[in-house]
Amino acid sequence: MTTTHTLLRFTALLLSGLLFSATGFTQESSPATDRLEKMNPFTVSALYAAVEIKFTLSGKNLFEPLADPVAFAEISAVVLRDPDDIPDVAVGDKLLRIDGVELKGLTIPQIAELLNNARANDVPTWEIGQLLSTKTIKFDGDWLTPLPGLKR
Amino acid sequence: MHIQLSAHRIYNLSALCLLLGATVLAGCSSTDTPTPQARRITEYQSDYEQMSPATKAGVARGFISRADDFKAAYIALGKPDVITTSADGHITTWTYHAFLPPQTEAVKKQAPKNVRGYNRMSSPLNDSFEAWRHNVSMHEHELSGDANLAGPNPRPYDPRTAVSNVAPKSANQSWADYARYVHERRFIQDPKVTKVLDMEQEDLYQKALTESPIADPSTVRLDVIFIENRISDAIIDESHSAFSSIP
Repeated sequence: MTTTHTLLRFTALLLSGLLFSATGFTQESSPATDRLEKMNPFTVSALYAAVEIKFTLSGKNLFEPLADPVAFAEISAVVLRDPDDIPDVAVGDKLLRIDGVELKGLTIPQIAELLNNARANDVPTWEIGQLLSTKTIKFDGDWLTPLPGLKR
Repeated sequence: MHIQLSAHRIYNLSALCLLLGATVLAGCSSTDTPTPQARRITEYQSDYEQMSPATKAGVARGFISRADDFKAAYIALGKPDVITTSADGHITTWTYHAFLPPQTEAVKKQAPKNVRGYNRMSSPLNDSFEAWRHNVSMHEHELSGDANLAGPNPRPYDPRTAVSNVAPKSANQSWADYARYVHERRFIQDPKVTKVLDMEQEDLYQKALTESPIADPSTVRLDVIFIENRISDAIIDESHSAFSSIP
């Protein structure tokens, strides 16, 4: 009798233990699943800051801005996608080259084509001019005002 | 007789030459130097001919209006110092760093004393420039300081009673920054805080006197903004629209 009673208590304890442990597993795995659902690592927006680029034109074709060669391109705004992320670009930086091709002298549609090709091959390489130095970065953030013919 | 005739002919010929010479000289002296606008009209004669009569009259005098196109702006104002455009090419800005506002002869003779007098002038662009140059407000107050403007119920600006109790704008300070200072100065009631603001502005002003070149007061910075190839606005000294309405 006593043996049976002990066995029953042990079985009940085992079952309840299993139940609690199963509940514990589900409770632990649930937030991780949520986090994975919220964060999509395959979108560019999750990785890069978005930028606004302003072009200064050479004035050689005064009445057609899209056919006027660019003198330089400047980052006029940066929108952070992640508060903890420190982007490699800042307002006032000059965008000098994309994948080694100099932007000076190109028209805006030509730059659009250049960026489109660079995106098709890989993450574009930007040469950024700052006040006293230049640096090369891999950057494919959204353009807040997209170039003609591009979606972002 | 033959000799006398020849002498008479020579006399007549000399007189004719003198007359022709005088006519040529008179013609030269009466020919005015063409205005920059006239030169640019000659450059784009066919485009100019296609403009509306009102636009023609305006650009020939150096005035622009909203919805004018690139060529009208070029004829009126000339080539800009800097051209910037958005990435899609839809918004373009022509910047003139030291733009001399156009003046008609009538405007030159008038020394505007208050904004009401501007109603006689024809162009809002010119009105706005003139108001700015004479430091007369088009919005019933001015930025250079007036004790009447302090507090929550400022009285309209009256140049006869104006007291400059606000630190002046420094040469290298944008009008937007200076307006921010004046705005804060005007609505903050705590004298300690306003004193600090005034000291900061005064320091900026004194520093600019020694470090920055003094800009020609008769010129302004003008940013002409085009949207889809048409003038949308023109901003004077990064501060206010040249097309703003006159009260």
